[in-house]
Amino acid sequence: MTEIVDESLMLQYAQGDGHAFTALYTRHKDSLYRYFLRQSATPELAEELYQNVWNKLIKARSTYQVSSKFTTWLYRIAHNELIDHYRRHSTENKVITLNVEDKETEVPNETEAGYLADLQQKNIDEQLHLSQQASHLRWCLKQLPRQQKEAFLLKHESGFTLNEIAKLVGESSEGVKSRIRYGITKLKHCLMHKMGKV
Amino acid sequence: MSDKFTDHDIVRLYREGATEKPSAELDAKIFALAKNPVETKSQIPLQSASPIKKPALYQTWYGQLSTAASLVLVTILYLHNSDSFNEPADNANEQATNQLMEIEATGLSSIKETEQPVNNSLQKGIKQKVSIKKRSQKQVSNIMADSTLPSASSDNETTQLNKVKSISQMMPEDALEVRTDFNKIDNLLATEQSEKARERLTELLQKYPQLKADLHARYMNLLK
Repeated sequence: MTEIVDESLMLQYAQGDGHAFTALYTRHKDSLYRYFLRQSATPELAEELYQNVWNKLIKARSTYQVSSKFTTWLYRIAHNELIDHYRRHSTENKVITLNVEDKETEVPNETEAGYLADLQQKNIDEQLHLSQQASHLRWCLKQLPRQQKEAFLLKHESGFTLNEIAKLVGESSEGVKSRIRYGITKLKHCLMHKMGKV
Repeated sequence: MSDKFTDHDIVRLYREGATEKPSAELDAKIFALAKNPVETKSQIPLQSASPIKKPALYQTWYGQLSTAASLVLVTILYLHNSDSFNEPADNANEQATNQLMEIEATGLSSIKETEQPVNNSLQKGIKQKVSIKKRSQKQVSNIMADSTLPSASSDNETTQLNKVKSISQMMPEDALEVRTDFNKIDNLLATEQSEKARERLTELLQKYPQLKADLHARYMNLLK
């Protein structure tokens, strides 16, 4: 079965087709939600920003034109929303991040519990080990500089190419490549440190 | 997993742990917004407008600052230019004072008669201080010239009116001189020194021939 491309769905939605929006939303909601969740101080804030992005998309539906990929357009709105938020709450954000760091190192949350359930077949030691690693990785990701974190997420969470990311954030693709490389290196070091392997 | 992580390990580990999803409530909220965008449009301005109330200009620091700056500027400009505002009025007063001194210098009996008009002229000069901008220098001098006319007798009134017609067209300094001469001639006539009065009038008419045009009959008779 051939999937209708995002751009066509968006044009259909612009003409009043509600089902087209449902299809679009279902395709992109999870990665977009995690994009905000990883870069926000609290899940509540992530939800607020996430909702704002869809809200803007809904309002802009009548003016939508297929000049680039739908996902590029969607994540550009998301990127701008995030930047606006950082500008508005630059000092507040630092304080909240510190608090969240402490929470994250303690106990896995509800979603992590679901993640644990998927690993029931593996032996318990390995499950614990993996879940601990994933938890540590999330913590380490939170510690990355904002640009490196965003570049990593756009590449490995949302599946953009380097060129697309460069276009989206207004940087050169070489710059984006460096950000991702530095980001992954820092994640490795951080993870090693957390796991006590250094 | 080995002791050292590779790029692939990091990405795989991230993807295995990335299972978070938006809540069903959030999904429902967004679907509702998408289905009924008209309501959204009307709700958004209300939400954004209510918490932020724009203060009046005078309540803001920039409004108050600009008002204060404007007042300071106007005050400085006024103080800086106050000399030029007062200058014409001072001139008018000065002229009136000069005329008074001139008349006093004549030392004649008509002084008493001229006192009142001179005082009037001084008062007018003071009044002109207030509204001097609107008056031209010529108007000021005319007014001053008119107010210095002696108004002793009804017989003289027509003479003075005749004087005004031609004198008012003269320069202020000349007009003053002519008036003084006419006063002297009047005084000479009053003391029955007709010869001296004729000489004086002849000299005056030689100096200012334009006065002949509207000279009063009394002076014309004197010349004959």
